Amino acid sequence: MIDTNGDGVPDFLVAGFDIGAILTGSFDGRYGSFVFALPNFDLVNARFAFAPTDSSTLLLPVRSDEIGLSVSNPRFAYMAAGYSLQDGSADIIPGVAMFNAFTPSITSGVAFVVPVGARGTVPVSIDASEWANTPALGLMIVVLDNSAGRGEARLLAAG
Amino acid sequence: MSVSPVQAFSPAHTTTLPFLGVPAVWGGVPGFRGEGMKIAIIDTGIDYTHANFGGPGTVAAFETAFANSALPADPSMFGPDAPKVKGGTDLVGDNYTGLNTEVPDPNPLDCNGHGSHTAGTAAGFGVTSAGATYTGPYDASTFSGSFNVGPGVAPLADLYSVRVFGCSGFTSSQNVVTAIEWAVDHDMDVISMSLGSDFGTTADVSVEASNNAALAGTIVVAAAGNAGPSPYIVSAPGIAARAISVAADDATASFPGATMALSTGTTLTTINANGISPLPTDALKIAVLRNADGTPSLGCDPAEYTNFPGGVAGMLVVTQRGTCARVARAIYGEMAGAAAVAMVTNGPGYPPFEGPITSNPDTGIPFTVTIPFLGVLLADGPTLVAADGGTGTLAATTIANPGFKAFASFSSAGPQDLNSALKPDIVAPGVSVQSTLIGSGTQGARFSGTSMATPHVAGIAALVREAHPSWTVAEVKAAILNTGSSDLVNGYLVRRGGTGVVQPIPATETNVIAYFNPGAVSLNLGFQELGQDFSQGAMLSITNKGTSPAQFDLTAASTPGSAPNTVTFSTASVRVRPGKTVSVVVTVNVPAATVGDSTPTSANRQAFRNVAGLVTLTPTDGSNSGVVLHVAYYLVPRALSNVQAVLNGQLSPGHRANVRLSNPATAIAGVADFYAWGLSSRRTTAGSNDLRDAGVQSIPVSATTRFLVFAVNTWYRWSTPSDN
Repeated sequence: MIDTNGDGVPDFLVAGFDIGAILTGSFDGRYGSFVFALPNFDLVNARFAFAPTDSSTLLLPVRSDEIGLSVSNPRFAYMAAGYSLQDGSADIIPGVAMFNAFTPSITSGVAFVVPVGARGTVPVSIDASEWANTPALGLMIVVLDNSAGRGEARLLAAG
Repeated sequence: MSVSPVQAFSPAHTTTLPFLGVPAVWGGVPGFRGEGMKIAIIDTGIDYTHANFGGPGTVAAFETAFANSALPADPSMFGPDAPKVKGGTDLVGDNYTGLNTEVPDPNPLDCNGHGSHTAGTAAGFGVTSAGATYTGPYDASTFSGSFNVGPGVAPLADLYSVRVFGCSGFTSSQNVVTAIEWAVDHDMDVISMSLGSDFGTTADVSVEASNNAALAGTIVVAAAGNAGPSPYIVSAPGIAARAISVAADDATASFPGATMALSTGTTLTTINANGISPLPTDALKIAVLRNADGTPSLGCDPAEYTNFPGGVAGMLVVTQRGTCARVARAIYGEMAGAAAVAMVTNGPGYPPFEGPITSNPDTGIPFTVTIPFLGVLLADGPTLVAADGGTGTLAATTIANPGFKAFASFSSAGPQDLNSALKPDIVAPGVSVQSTLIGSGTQGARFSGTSMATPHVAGIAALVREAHPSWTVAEVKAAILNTGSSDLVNGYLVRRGGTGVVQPIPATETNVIAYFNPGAVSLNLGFQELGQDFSQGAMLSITNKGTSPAQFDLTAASTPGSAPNTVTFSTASVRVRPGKTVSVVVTVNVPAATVGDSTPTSANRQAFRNVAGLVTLTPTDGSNSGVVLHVAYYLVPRALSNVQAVLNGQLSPGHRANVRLSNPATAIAGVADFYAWGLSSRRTTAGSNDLRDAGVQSIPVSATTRFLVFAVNTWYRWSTPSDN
């Protein structure tokens, strides 16, 4: 859920869900990234998500203007929750995170291919002024072909 | 103009049963027709008044039965003395929807239609074109006759109706369990369940009940589901290891067509969607229905036909597809006196073959259409519309069915959710299958679905059990799966159709069965993360149930869609003495680096990978009546990278640092994709929805737009995120 106007109330929901279930009412096993405007859950846009089978990381794309962001309104807060259709259980990650879509406070959006047996180096940095507005926990380095679970997201804490 | 009485085109059992070879089993020496077999249809009930089940075959008989459907049924139509439906029960009552309380009664009369249709496919007697119950003979000559409804697969088997649905809605897994227990308690030979829930897992109680039923001696056949080809969507209870899960294909080679010679000089080819024959021979005046703005209209309003200037009597009315039921146009056109109705479709290919049109699906009002209902290609629409006011002359032709032998688009695919075991097990016809039409007395209707494929296999299971009365459920299942034909499936994939199209002739003839696991039959290697090459052996058991020695050569072949693999055997040929079992070690080898990675493609957006193939046992020296056996092997591999990330320097405001990446000792390259880490959580459950971390990245699209990607990582693996 995303708060784009800073009032503490979610304005948009970016949800990963079965495309058939949302669009036709019948599950079809294809996975999509859906943008809903709150509080009425009006569908803003939908596109394929990147969610490999037998994996443990979802990548949910959304365009900045679809959730009301612009150069003059670049920051938003977000929280994450999950729901299982297998057993009806739900899970919420505690807390709220901040991000600036146009001038992120920490390096993001870099993709680096590492061949078998190879090494590489990626320079990273934190923008001190933006960090004051949109701090992060650090870097989350997603490697979808690593072992499922924690292996798919390497975490490097800031501090 | 001349219009003759309706003649139904090719009732589907007359298509699907010869396609499978069923009449040859009926007429074999000995022949098997289901004698002494008991099939439980767990469904919406059975219309036992229909002639297909030996009932009176009148609408009045059904209406009388329906008016008393909570009371004990007429014993001449339902019960031990009835001709076909020998027993059963209604576990839920007419008004049950799946959301209210069940009100059981002893009378499982169908008030929906689904169960009557599936029951007819499994074991209906057949209904002649004169409207009488067919009484035989059931042999290779049967389909030389003319039928309203062709006989079912095991026409002399007894049916038992165990009703778990009301007139509409759904049911609970617990009701299915109760029905399965009823079938076991009443000594059924076969259970046919044209039902299920998507993303089936062993957590569904109907799965355990199905396995228990098989262990107790009842063959369980269930639908794969109608959710399409995505991985892991195949249904429960069919995913039960000891059940037979049935996928659907299309057994219709061609459809009736009609050429339409226009007065403008062009000749179009259309599908004769209701199979009317003969076609009108006169040149028909063309009347295009139009909207107020002049564009061609949908023809969904009866007033469009009756208010057409000068009327549409004797004309060829042209409409567009959309909004209302397709066949409604034919009904409205005939009511207004049209000689034929054409519908320009709105997508690729021809619109579907409808078969006889007997009611308006939008209203439920019965109406039998006797004029041609023609489907026109989208690209031909403008040409036909341009002929408005001119004439069209029809002539019969045939149209090849592009889906012939292909999987039905709706047929649910495996593997099984969570454990990646192979399902479905087998394929049977499930597209445009004609069988019993509820409440009609003597008529049939065309339905599509794995629901329609399932009773084909249930009937065949009854024939195999009749052929091998001393065999266990697991042995009967092995005979059916071993003799499936992948050659009969266009676009064959193991995870969509197991060993292929069910083949009753070799299934009843084989005296040898082969299996990796009694009950499951196939070799299920499950899910494996591969940091290095994979190699795993398993024991293939080959049992000779016959009285003569049997000798086979063993080979294996990877099947379409599989990652590269090789299979080795501890011996290349085996000889199995009567009554004995020989074991062969089969080793599946997979080079990890060739499995593929998580890069999606338009054809494989979920980057699903599998290793699939068939072990084939080819008889030598005329063994086993020449019957070749197949056993599937199946693995879901995931090749691994091993990318490590180490921080060099201080990651804090005002400082610079480097992330050192490495990817040691593993199978494939990895892509390190950087996100701002925003949220983190400890383990809270053992489920695959237990969230671990979330982050977001920003990618410039333009000066004013960014593409954002949210990454959500969980503690545990899922099979598919769609049910997570």
